[in-house]
Amino acid sequence: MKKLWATFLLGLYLLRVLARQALVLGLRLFGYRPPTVARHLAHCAEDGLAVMPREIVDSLPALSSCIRCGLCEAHCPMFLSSASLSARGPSVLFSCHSRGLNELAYAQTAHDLLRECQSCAACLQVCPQGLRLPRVLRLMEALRVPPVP
Amino acid sequence: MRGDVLVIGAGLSGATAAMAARRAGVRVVLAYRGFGRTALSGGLFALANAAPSKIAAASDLARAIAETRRLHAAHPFAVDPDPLPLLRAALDAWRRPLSALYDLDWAVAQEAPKAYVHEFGALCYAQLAPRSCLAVTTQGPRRIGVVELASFAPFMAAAIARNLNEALAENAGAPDFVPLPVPFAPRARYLLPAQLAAALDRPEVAAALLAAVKSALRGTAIEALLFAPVLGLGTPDLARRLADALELPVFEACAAQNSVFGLRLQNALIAALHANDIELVHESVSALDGSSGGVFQAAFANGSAPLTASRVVLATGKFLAGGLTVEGRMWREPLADCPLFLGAEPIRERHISHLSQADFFAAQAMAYVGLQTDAAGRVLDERGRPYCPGLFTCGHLLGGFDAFAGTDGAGVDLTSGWRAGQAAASEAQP
Repeated sequence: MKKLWATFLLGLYLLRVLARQALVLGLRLFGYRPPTVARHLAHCAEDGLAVMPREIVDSLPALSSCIRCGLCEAHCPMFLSSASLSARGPSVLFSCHSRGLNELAYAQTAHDLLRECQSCAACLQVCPQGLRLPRVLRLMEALRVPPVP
Repeated sequence: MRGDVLVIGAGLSGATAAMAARRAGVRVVLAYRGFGRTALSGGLFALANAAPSKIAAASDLARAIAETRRLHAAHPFAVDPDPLPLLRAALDAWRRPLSALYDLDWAVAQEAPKAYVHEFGALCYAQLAPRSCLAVTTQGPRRIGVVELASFAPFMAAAIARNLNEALAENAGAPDFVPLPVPFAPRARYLLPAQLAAALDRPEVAAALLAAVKSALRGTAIEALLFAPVLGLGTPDLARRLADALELPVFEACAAQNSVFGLRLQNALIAALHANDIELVHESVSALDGSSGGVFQAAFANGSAPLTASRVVLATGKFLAGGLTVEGRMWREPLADCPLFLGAEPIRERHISHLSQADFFAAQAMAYVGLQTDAAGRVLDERGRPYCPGLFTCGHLLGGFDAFAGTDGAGVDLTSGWRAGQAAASEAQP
């Protein structure tokens, strides 16, 4: 009897959790944001931080395995051909990336770099960590935000 | 074109080798492709074992070098019977050419590494640093304003001041850091320190900065100012001029990489090489042919006339500068195909991914890949004999030390550069 009762209570609880999740998910489809998220966003803005989109957040573990050896810069035809960008790009990009997207908006060098990358994949061939740099670059280009007022 | 000694690479080690060879009285030509690790460094001179965790163990320079020699048999310091005199000779040679930026005092260099304030609000350790860097002491100014320029977002004064105060909370007599916002926005926002530094080279922009800082300082009890490392690229005395005008000590935070200090150091090295009658060729060397008995032919990538020299010093750096490249996922030294070592062990046909780990904080074996030399800086082959007569190497291209850690890079550059330059010059003399 006790067992049955416990199973019933557990089922009731699970049903409640599932129903709540379904409700929130359904509301989210219509643009609803739970108050916790809104509060979090407000705090971020107070601290001067931009919110990273999901794709960027997902790429962070891969990026954090970059060991800053510089092989990609030494093998990048774009860097080798342009003196102004020489050996600056990925480092700048990574610092933009790790400090939030606001700064990426006015990183002119990073901007130029992103536009000029032809995805020749020379960096893929040499990266000892096997990072997919062209994919990350394309992602970051797509995510550029307008300058902060 | 002909030279007695050809140095390839204009970083700290290449420039040191060229200076050493020039001192010996031979004709030196230095070919360089572009800026490498020196120009992209933080400009600190970490001579030996300057990691903060090691300070308690290795207090002064001599002891730090001895400890390194004992622990790492393949370290460039362990190759020479005594690296200290080499280091001293190299530092003395650079003392006057770099006097605008550094005070390369041998007595100071021999002391324990000092803690310098870093641009992220941490402390970094080195034996010698640019004059404008702030070393944390208990005797200095008590209340230091951390200047936040409206046009330069990466230097977040509030966070930096908080971090520094927390880090120094337990040290009695340590200075107190307070953020000082300065509404200085000349035209654009800058992300790269070098961009703002280049803008501050213009007198009218520097004057605007001075006026903005003056008005921000009014009514505060600040005894010294800490700026982001942006005070001038071609005119490194902006910090001193600001200090004179404000009647306050003015410091710059030291920077990790891609820093203005590194660019200033590189420019000063190039200027010193010019002043010492060393012929500079700003071209990329694409091939080096040493097969014809004691005469090297260096071909240039852009097809200009090849250069002959009887002795060659390779100072081409490691990964970032292109001194070690990857071909078909294998390591290769591109100019002379020199034998490569991982520490002391020869590596052949090793896939690059076997030498690195995904964890950023783990020790990376690939940092230790490089060339091995004898006590004169000659490139050695797998059996420990000279690989090619007249071929020397120095700097980051050497294996056996951690090229990423930044705890002894400048020390290796100076000792190995001086050693290779001297030996190349003495062999090149008729």
